[in-house]
Amino acid sequence: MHFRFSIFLSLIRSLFPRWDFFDQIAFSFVVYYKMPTDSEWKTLAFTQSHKSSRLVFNQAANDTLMQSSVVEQFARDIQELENNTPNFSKSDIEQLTTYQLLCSLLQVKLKHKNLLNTEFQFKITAQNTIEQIDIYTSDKLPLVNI
Amino acid sequence: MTLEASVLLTTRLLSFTMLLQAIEIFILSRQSNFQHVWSYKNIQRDLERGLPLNAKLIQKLFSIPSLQKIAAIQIALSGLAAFQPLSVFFIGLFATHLLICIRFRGAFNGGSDMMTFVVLTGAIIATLGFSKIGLIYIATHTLYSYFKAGLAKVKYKEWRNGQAIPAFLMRSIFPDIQNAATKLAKHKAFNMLLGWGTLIFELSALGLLFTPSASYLYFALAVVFHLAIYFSFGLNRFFWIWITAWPATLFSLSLLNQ
Repeated sequence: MHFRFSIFLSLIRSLFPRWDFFDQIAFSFVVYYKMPTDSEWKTLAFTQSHKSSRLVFNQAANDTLMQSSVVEQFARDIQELENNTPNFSKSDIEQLTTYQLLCSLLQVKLKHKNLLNTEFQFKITAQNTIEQIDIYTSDKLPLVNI
Repeated sequence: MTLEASVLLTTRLLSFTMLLQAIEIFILSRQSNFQHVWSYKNIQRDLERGLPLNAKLIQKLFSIPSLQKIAAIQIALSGLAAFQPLSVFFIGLFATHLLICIRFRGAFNGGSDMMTFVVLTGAIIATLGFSKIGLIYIATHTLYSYFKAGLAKVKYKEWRNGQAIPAFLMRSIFPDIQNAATKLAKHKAFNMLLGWGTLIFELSALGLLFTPSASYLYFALAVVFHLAIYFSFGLNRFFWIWITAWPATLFSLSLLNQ
């Protein structure tokens, strides 16, 4: 594979501090899923019980924060593809690292729900107080055993 | 605060914070769900395109067993650095932290990873014999982090009219905080007070350069501020690493009093 300097910079971005936290109220991204037997989309929450949060060891909350971040990064990658590659194909999306991470993440979260189905579909929407935009809807994907 | 006390506190707190971070990663990396999501296969493409290294070496460095080994090395180095604050241990911690950040495509916990690098750099400089420079480096970034965060917020009308705090709280990972945010959104005057309180607190960090005598009061407010962020969003790593940066900040500000 060809080395890409922009990816290298992204991998070491923590070395270059940026301190603009919680500034702009941008769109929030919501994940919906549907099983073959479902007629409606259901929301998949990325939440954690407050009772399990700890000031010292808080790995469960940090894991959930990381999961939400995967959803945001995937949404950003889709927007970048739309801007930079106008005629992008399905395979361009499927090759994204964030797509791979998101599919694995959804498989884990849906398996936790003890669903008996073997397939699922998901979509990501961008939402703010005024509008809701569908930004990606997947094909049917296998719900593999983990 | 004396120079010696500040260096000792900074290095001890940094060792503790990095021990905590490494244990969290170690615990997570042993969970099968986490291993499934963060498998080497899933991140291979980014690492092979983003690192100028041989593919076999990349796999060796960033597989799940390697992540566990890196976390274990960080645990050991943190323990050693707590008892013997030598630069070699902090250089080692810098390397393990960088490898962990790369493993998670740049950052595991955003801003806290950046501040960890800042404090590590300051600790390395300080333990190489340039104590004052190391501490001033940390203090500069710390004060600027508050000021810049405030400056970035004040541009947006949502921060000035009070809409921002309930809007961000609604995105918390904790359902009870989301519910509280929905109720809070109805109290516009209170939200405006909270919003402006945050802006004034963050922007006034720069004012400490002119009124260093207020540094302990600001530090006390900063502890409450970071605790509130931890309680609202679960960001424990932010709490610990910013607290770690404060002994250096208090020492550096005390130099302005002389």
